[in-house]
Amino acid sequence: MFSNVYAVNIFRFLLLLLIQGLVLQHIGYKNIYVFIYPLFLMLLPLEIPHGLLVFLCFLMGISVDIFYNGFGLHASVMVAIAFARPLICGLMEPRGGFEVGQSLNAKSLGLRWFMKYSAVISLIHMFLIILLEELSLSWFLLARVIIGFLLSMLVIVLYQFIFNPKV
Amino acid sequence: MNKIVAFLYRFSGLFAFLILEFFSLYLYFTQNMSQEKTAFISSANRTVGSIYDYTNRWMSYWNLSSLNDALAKENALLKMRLPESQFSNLSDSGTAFNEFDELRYQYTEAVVINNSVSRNNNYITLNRGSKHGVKLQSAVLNGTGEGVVGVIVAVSSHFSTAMSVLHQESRISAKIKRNGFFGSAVWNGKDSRRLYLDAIPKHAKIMKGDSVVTSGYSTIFPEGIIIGTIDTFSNQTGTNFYEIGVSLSVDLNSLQYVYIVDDMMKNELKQLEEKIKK
Repeated sequence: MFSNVYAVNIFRFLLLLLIQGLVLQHIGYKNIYVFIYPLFLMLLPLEIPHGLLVFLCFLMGISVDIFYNGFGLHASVMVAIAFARPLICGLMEPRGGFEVGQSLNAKSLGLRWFMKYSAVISLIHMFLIILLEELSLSWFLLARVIIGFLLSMLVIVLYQFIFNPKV
Repeated sequence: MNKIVAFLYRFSGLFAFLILEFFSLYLYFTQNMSQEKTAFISSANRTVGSIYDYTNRWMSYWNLSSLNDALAKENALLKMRLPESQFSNLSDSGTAFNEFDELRYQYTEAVVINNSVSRNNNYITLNRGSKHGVKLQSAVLNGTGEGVVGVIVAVSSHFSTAMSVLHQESRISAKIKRNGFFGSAVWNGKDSRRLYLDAIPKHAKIMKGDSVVTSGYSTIFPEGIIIGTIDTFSNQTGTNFYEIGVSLSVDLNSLQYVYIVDDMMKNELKQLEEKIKK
């Protein structure tokens, strides 16, 4: 059981990294990005030690940076969101509270909850990435964030449907 | 001691966050500062680079056809700049490539859209026509630009038809590259991989493997285009000439891209030669 959690997450790490680096990298049009890799952060187990969570997300971010020539852009955003994830999870706790060992996916918590959860993280992620890139605020930036966010949600939900078919 | 461990564990997230956030922001805002870092943390990274290299081998198939078109076009442009394509207006033709040179051979790339090798007289259809500047009696060379394929015999607005070298009326003025003896290369209607070179006198010294190239004496092919290599020759009695078999350098069975080469000084040359005949 325990090793299963490791295997699943290592596999997901590699799969998301390859999808992001080899496929989605070529899909964005001009300045619109599509990101699926924050899903790694979203789906890490609820009970994971906070330090480990931050470190693993840093690894993910720096790996994406290598593919994107981002020089720490993705790593810094991932680290920030990983740090904030317990807070986000706390705010979004379902009425009865999380169960012990519950997976934070659509299968276990319902599609509605998962959509809300992934939308929050994905939106923050997209906003921070584009903000860090431009270092200024504008309507154009906002449009990029929203379009990229919608496209990212599409692939994230699609991923959920593919890997947890009984949603 | 336990307290310290407990403290560290409790705030592990905060410490990890502070250290890693600072580190990655530092990387981000000081990018391009050192080359070693750039090499490691960009896609020049060996692992990612080789992943890209590997995937590119697969991904490149998606745009292979458009890439080919572009490359063929570029090649055609480059070939026009070769000294062989220029007509030297200097009496000393050894000095290739200067402002006295004029373009002589116009290259146009084309795709073979129909081809036959098995008939008695074979033709090749190309996707370039008069709209693209193709003219009658232009040479057709294979995709690498070395190797004769045929001669344009019919042109419509978008397409053209070439008489393949595998045609019984095809006669290509050819010479043996090593010693310059010239004759014409013809096809006997049988083997699609071989031509015959006639009119090489018996006092010429030839051997197997000698390459046969176009002579440039006709106004169709530029000089020095490879036709093939000598693979058989026989000394028949009762004639002054060898019978020479040439194995074609181009495999006409698998032809995809060709160049149509127009000699732009063709008419001038013909008129001149015509004058003497009168």
